[in-house]
Amino acid sequence: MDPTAVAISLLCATSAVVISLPPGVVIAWVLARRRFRGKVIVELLVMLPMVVPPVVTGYLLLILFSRHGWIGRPLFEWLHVRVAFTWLGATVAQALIALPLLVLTLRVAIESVDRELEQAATTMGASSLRVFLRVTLPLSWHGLAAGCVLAFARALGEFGATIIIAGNIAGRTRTLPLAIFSAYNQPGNEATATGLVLIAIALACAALIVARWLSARAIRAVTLRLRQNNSGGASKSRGSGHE
Amino acid sequence: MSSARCFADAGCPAQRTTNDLTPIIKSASGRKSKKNFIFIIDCLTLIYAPRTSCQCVRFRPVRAFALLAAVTVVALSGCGDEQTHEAPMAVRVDAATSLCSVLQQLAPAAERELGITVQLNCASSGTLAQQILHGSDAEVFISASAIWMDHLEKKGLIVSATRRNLWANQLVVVTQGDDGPGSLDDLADARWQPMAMGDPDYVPSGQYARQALRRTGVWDRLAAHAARAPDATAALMHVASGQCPVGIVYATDARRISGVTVAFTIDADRHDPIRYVAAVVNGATRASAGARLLDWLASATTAHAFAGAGFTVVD
Repeated sequence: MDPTAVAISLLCATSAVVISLPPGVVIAWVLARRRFRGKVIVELLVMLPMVVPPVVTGYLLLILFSRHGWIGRPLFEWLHVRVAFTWLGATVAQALIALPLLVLTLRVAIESVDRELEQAATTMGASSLRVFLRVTLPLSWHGLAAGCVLAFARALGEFGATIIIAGNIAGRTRTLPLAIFSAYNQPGNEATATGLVLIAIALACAALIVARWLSARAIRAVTLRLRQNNSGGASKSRGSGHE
Repeated sequence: MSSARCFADAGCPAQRTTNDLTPIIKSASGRKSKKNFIFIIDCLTLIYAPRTSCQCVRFRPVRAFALLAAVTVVALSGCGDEQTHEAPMAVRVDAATSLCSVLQQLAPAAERELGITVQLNCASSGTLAQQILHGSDAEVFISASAIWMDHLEKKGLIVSATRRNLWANQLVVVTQGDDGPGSLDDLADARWQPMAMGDPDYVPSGQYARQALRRTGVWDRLAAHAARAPDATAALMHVASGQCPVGIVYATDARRISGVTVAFTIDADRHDPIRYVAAVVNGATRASAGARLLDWLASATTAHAFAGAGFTVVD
């Protein structure tokens, strides 16, 4: 009945992953590699959107992004961009809620990267940004991808925050979970609800299989690397520092 | 392409045995299909990333991200175009759920006669009022009660000149079988609990129902056992799906679906008159089109559709 719901869901979830990637990567690196005062607070703040009820996240976002909100008002007056009750609102909510999954997964992957490789690149004169982009991130690629997939799956399933900040407007902000909710609440729509539920399960399964496959690859990559290191394969890393 | 080069390299294990691709391909060499599968998947992943120890393709995070972002933007702009194509005369109508099926039926006629595409946003009037308060871009608001319209009018969010009462409705008590309660007093009986109704805190149908139950004197006993639905139609669903033995819903909703029977109609003098109030939202993008649509909905052209659905047209 409502094929737009699936399209809107996919679009919002993809955009959510795209906008949560840059901050997610930076935060994951900071948490994995830096020690500083108040690190616990940063960890807490990053994890918060995932553990508080999504409605709380949605409510806070609505206060920020509504027409009279601190962010919503300047956005509307200067750029004529509405966030609340548009797909942008859904995307922002999903990005915030999916971010912790991305950060958690990527952080573990970055922590598992051999620091000696990074140090080797540094001794060859690479800046820390270059080391990160050319050594650390490529070596933790599978973690990054798995994190993206998990974040995507979580964004796809987001309900509570979305319904608050984006409403439930058919064809505009009605994502898959909202469409299921609406179908359940309307007489004679049981078949639609069942169909949408099956689509949601299929999408979630697909995402989990991809994530599992990626993390299996990540583990294999790590074990292979360890095996090489143990068998004295020091010459193998020669290419990582220079093009 | 560089990916082809990488596989050429991987095929020369004499030169580089550490490539983690080699053992996989070796182990799968007997099974061609699996090998093909792995090859395809590896090709796909190579777009973004090489094997970690394969030196032929580099993972360029910034470029990969730019590509991903570009693809998303292209996909989005595609959808944006679609929206602007249909946009010329799209009018967003935020309407109480009980009106939605009629408005949906009338939408093709509105497109034909007025050239206006009606975009419906159906929810409880309380939810819609809240959305308009926070800046949703609706053109027309149709509330099932004056309370929420007053609330918006006080804040200057609707055009007062366009405000009007359009239709009237009634409340009925519905059940699933033939056996139902005979009066509102009977609802206090344990066998009729939980009773479904709109959430009286913000759903108009629930607010009218609570007034009727209060005047009958059974609300105090019922309040704790009421299943509060997020909108009027959802309350009907609670009864239709068998979760609740009885429910208080609009007469127009009850006649729409089979599977529920009307036990009795609640006397109209037990609650405030149920009036649908419509107005154009202040500052709406297409306010004039909204006003035209509202005039059309109030005209004799559409009166029969509302009467046919069980609404009383208010003069």
